[in-house]
Amino acid sequence: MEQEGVFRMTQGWKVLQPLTRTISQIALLFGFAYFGSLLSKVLHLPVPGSIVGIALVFAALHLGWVRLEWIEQGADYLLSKLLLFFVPPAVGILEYKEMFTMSGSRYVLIIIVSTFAVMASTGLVAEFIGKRRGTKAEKEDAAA
Amino acid sequence: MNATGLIYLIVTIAVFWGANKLYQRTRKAYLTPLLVAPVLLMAMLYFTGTPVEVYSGGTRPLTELLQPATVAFAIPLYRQFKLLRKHAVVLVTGVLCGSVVAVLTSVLPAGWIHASPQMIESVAPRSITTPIAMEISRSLGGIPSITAVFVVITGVCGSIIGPLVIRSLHIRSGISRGLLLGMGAHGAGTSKARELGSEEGAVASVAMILAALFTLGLIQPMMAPFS
Repeated sequence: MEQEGVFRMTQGWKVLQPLTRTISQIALLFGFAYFGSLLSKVLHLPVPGSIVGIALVFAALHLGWVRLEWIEQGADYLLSKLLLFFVPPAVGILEYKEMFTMSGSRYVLIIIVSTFAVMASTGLVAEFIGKRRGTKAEKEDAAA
Repeated sequence: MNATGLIYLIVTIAVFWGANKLYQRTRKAYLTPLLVAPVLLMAMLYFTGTPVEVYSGGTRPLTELLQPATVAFAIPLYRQFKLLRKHAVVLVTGVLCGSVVAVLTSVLPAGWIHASPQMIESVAPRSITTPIAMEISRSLGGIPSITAVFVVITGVCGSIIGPLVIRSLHIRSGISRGLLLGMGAHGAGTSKARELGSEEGAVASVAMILAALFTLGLIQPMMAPFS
């Protein structure tokens, strides 16, 4: 009887383990985010706290203070649910609906044209540099 | 947090889940859960006469998770660091060009339609990933919630425009394709890039993070003439 109970508990633990791991990893990321915004505030950095947080996590990983396994599960979970976190702020525009009903369609038009310009210029610049570097590498190969 | 707020928290997750299922079945860019879920929830608030403040209060736990989620961007950046170093010249030049074009072609036309300074500041960071765009908007004096909506519109339009740009301009290399999708349509573009291939997807995620960092650095001096 007792053994069965222990067995059940270990089974239960196995189910819970990935969950507790993800939650504790998210807590660690929360810690980095909090520390990042604290640093940004205390040192009057011109950079938002979340960016300081990104830099801190990156540095901690790079220097080996934090191992990838300690945070990657939590990070992957959060990033896979990222779209959900944007729903409340999107609903929040109800507070400013006058601004949108007045000229919402104009902003959509601006965004469409602007996005096209961004993608076309970025893509063409990247193709141009890629091709130049490609032919340069070919020439070096031919010379060698 | 009161009971109504808590109900809306659960309803938000449920509605999003349903909208996500719909998107996965149809795969139409305009049916993204990022558009469908807020519209349904807004209709719900409207018909039940619930004030937005109650909704925002109840869904606060979700909004709070944006902070660790933003910090979590360090992990893909760390994983793709080799890729970033190998293609540093293309990535940095492309994102630099894209970031400048993004801010200018948003802010200038907004000025032409006589938008208020607050709206101009809200539209300026629209091409980068939502959590950082909202923070930049707040620091400029814009309205983060309006910025979030501009970012969402950018993502939806970008995932439709991106493939058109690739086809019409004959963008052949996987790096350029991923780069323009991540630069032009942040997370939505990155998921589109993953459909094209793993190289495109990896480049797009790096481009998205770089775009956020570059925009952050460039936006203050770029906005100076407008304020």
